[in-house]
Amino acid sequence: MNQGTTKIAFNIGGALIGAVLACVSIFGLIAQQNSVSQPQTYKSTITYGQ
Amino acid sequence: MTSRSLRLSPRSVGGLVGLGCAVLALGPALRPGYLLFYDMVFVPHLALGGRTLGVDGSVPRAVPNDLVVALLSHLASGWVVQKVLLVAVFVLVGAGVGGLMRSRWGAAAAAIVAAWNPYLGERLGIGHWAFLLGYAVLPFLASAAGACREGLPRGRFRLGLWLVLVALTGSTGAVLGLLVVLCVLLVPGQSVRATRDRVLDLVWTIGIFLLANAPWWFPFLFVAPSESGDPLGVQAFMSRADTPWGVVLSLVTTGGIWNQDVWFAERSSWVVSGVALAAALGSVLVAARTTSWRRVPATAGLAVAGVLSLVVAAASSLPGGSDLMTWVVTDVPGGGLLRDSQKFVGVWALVLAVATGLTVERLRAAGARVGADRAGVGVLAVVIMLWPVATLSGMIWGAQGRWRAVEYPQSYQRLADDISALPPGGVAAFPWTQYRQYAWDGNWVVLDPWQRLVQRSVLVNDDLPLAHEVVQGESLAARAVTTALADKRGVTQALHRAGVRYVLVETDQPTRPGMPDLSGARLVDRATGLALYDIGAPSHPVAGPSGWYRYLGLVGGILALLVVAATRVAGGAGRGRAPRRKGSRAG
Repeated sequence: MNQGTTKIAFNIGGALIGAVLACVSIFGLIAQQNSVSQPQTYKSTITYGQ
Repeated sequence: MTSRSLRLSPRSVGGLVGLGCAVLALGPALRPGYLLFYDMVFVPHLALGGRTLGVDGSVPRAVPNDLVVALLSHLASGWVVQKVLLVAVFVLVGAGVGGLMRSRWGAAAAAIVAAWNPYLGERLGIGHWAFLLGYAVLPFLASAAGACREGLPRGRFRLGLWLVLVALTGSTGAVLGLLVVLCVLLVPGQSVRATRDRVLDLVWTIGIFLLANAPWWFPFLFVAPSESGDPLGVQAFMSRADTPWGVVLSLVTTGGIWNQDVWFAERSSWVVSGVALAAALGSVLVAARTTSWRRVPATAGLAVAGVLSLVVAAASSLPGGSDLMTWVVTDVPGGGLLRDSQKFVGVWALVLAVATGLTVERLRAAGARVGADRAGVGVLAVVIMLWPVATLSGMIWGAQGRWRAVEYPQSYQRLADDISALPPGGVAAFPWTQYRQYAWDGNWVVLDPWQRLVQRSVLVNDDLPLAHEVVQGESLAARAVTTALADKRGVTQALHRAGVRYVLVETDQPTRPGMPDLSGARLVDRATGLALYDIGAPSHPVAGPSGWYRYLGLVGGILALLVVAATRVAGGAGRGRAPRRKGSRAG
């Protein structure tokens, strides 16, 4: 593989991985935001966890 | 100053990356005020008292970490101490794993994984700040143990110092630290030292560990009357799958805490957790194909400790493992440390950090080998090292505002001051459960803060109420009050037997867990959401622990510090026995 091809391979690889991680990151932000938006509600018995 | 002198070491790079992660992760939580959720409870001024010293006969759950907070509270307000300790977690763990790497690129990658992972996020979410401080010290312990094993100057002193420091973070950090140190000292491999010296290293490790941790194990075994662990706790606190990939693979990605209230929502996605799993396994695969780290005791030992920790964390979920863990927790003294076994995954998280650092280093080396454009390789390396943030973006900015700083109502501080001025007598907090939900704290579940707000003994119900069961606590005094409340008679007598004179009722809390009949009690004070009653002084003194022997644990801790300091003054046991070898870092 010559240098030009290698450079292209690294660039394409970086772009693909970067795009996947960016999508995953945005999805995570939205998912967590939705879960935090759920208000804590009054319960007759307070529990430490599920 | 030359440009060369400005070049940061890998450890410094790791620390700076950790600091960046702290700012990004904590965000609004760094504003003035207190983070109060689950077990995360800091107060304006934590007093030095029998409970923080571990000598009052209560189960020493927060010893000596609360003692450290109490001492620091003399220098700054409680919320400042809290923020400093939380930021320290990120900076220390970043610097620690950075110091295990050979290059700055590797250090940055390792620091991101160590300072940004589900283990850290979930444990922070449940308020286990002391666990996390212990976790942050582990890479330093691995380095110090490696230096000791290689006979580097002051190796034993360094190891002793870090063993003392990790002991200050409490029992969990100390036990994880001992595991890491023993694995580093014992992992097969070349050693330039004589067998006798290596045996002495082990004796030194065990000795300092026992002395430095005496402040919690001594009162637990000899001062605090307590019940053995509830077998229900093993099932309740076993590792759970916080991803669709099952328990073991959730643990591989460093998640899997039992409490689903603190899980990150995005990890329930097949895709997001799948990417995290692929990145984790890919890094481990690359590291497994790299041989250099195996020759370095610190990283080789850390890897062994990480795998063992993963097995312990998963044990309750494996066939036969649940029975074994139940036996250990209920029948082995101190076995309760294994109850919430997912906490062991912290060691594995550090292994994953080093593996990711190695992956980035190998990528850059491969790019240079094939003559690829340096900028292109650099961009790819940055993209890859960001996988922990991308697959756990819910942790950004205080978990999207979930970790918020709040102020205690003024009435709390006023009543705490008033209680301090009252005649002697213990306090009991009601309703009879140890967790609260305050409207001024966003109704997040939080451990009752009154044990720390008041400078005297405060009795709380140490049972752990879960959604479908109650895991019994270990306090015999609290158990007696619980029984009396269930029987609806003898509550005042049970409180008196525990040395309680004042009953603090948090009137804004659900009363279902149990309330005593206070019709005959005198109302002493009232504030917003609070009422304080005097049920009369106990008729006879409470037979609590007394005598000098209660302080033996603290004496052990101080002795450990003195012995380590003496080693430094004497020049260090391992001084100059071997030159520093090349390749003492992974890479």
